[in-house]
Amino acid sequence: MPDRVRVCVIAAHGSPDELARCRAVLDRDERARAAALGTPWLRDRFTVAHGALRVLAGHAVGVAPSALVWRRGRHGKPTSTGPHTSLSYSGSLVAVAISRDRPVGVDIEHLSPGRDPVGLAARFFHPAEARHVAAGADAGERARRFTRLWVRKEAVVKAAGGRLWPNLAVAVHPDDVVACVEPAGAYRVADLVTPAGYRGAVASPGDAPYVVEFHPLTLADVLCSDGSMLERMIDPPAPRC
Amino acid sequence: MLEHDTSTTSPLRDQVVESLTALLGRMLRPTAPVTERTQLMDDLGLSSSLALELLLELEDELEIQIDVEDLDEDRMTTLGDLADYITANSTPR
Repeated sequence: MPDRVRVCVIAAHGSPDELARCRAVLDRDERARAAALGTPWLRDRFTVAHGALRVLAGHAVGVAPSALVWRRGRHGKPTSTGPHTSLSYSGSLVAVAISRDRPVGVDIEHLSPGRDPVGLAARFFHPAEARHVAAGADAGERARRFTRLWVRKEAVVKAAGGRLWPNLAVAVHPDDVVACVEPAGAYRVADLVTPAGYRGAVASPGDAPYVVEFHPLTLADVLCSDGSMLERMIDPPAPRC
Repeated sequence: MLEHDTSTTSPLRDQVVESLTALLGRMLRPTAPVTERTQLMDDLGLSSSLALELLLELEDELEIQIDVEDLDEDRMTTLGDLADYITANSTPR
């Protein structure tokens, strides 16, 4: 049976009560990082993202969310004392990936209308990918192509615990098995189903297939204290709390 | 690659700091003034995709090419850190 990777996509903001509940599970360092951000919008998004990550990861292994500890690796990859996890946020969405079976990397990105994706791809991406972006029929399609490639690269780098910059020119299209250059190795990447205006991807080491279980959740779902949220993740028809 | 003077009085570094400050102000509209000590990710919430855009705009503005091979999150903690990296790892076009 193939390994499973769970990915939850959640709205990045919540009610004052939900924010307080997210804040309550953060550690001292996370609270300080949230407080240092320049705007309330950024602070709330950080709080929801890290709070949701803790709640979901804690539920996955039956551990109190606040008891989990993440340690940063050489290039900043956080590794938890619970399951394998990865976290990404962009625009108004948060993506959390969790797997008991294998390391994961997830990335979600809001499409940026003002950006020149052709110039960025030509400068930093593999030449074939730059041509793929430039061949998009209109500005919207070029932005969608660029952002899809971007999230696939980010997901691979996050799964690998490597640095983004040396891996920018690694081809992540059209094949789903990607040869990361630093650290060297094969990674299997998969596109996520995301709301309009976003692109997302998840990656994991090796070329063996895995099942991506995708769960669009509300923050209220995530914060369900009786664990029924987890049941809903496993068996979608289960009632909400 | 040309070896740029990486001291804080380097003309290139001054240009890089000035351009980065203006670009970040335009891209992120921060509420507090941006200085060399501003933490790009922790204070401004700069994402890696915006960092990519920032570097391309800077390259075009200063007519330089930045070698990103050795770039790391640790080398772009503050605006001053990133200016140091760019000053030491760029070539004129």
